Amino acid sequence: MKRLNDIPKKDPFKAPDGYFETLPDKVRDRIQAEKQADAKPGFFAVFKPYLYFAGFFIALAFLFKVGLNTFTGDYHDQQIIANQTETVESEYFEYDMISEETIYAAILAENTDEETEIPEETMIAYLTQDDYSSILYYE
Amino acid sequence: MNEHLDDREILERFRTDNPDYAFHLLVKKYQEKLYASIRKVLVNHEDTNDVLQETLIKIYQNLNTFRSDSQLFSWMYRIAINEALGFIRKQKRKYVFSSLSYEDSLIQSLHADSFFDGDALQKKLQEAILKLPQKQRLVFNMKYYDNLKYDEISEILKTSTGALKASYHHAVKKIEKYLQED
Repeated sequence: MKRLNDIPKKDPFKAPDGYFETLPDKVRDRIQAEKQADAKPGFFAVFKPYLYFAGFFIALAFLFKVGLNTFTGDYHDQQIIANQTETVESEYFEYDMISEETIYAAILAENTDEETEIPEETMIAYLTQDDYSSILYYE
Repeated sequence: MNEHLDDREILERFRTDNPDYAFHLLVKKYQEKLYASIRKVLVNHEDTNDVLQETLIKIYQNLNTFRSDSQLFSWMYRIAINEALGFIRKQKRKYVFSSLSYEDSLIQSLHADSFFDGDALQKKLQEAILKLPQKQRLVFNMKYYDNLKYDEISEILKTSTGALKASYHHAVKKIEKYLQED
């Protein structure tokens, strides 16, 4: 009967010759390589925080714009249209309220005013003068 | 320089004086013991080499966090076994759709191993160990070859000492039964 205790206790697994002479240097080289790799971060690793920051602000600006249009944009547009409509309507309203007599009277008054505004002396001087430049001037 | 410093002196040097040289001394001191522990779990030299290098790099990166109230080699051994177990987990995923199990591949590696230094009986013993369930195999290797105490194994494998004793007992029985065959 074979018992475990009957078998000599030994480690039968051997490493290749020279393995342990070179291993410390290999490990040191790998550690140095990893240190250098850690010291030189890639482009994305460097700019990642800034890209996230920029993206955050673009998203924030977009949301602000959408929110602004939703809550105030429609009201603002409606106010502009309402004001424009009101002005046009009031102009029409005022025009309708002026009677024909009032308009004719205003035209006649204008003509009368112009005639009466010229003093008599001016009229005489005008009719007697030879210099026609003043005629041109008055016209 | 003196290459036979004790652990405390190496640690002191690592923390204050010349960390790279201190670590070089540490690797020189423990590389063979760590290699042997990992090799018994993974069998294959190439896999052992990969895991041992990863283990040593992890040790270097975390040596500053090591608390001097425990044994340095126990701490390093724990890292080595955890790395080996992580390696096995990854390897087992590769064998999910294969007709061959990972354990079968280890037995194949054993027979193809040109660095195996033992007679037919030694090879049969290793076969018997490789046929054990993974936990029993780990417990057996730690107790039989690495001479760890149950408390230390308990800390590494997060298993009660009672369960470990039972595992070891079952492992020895299975191995002896396998050795009696033929």
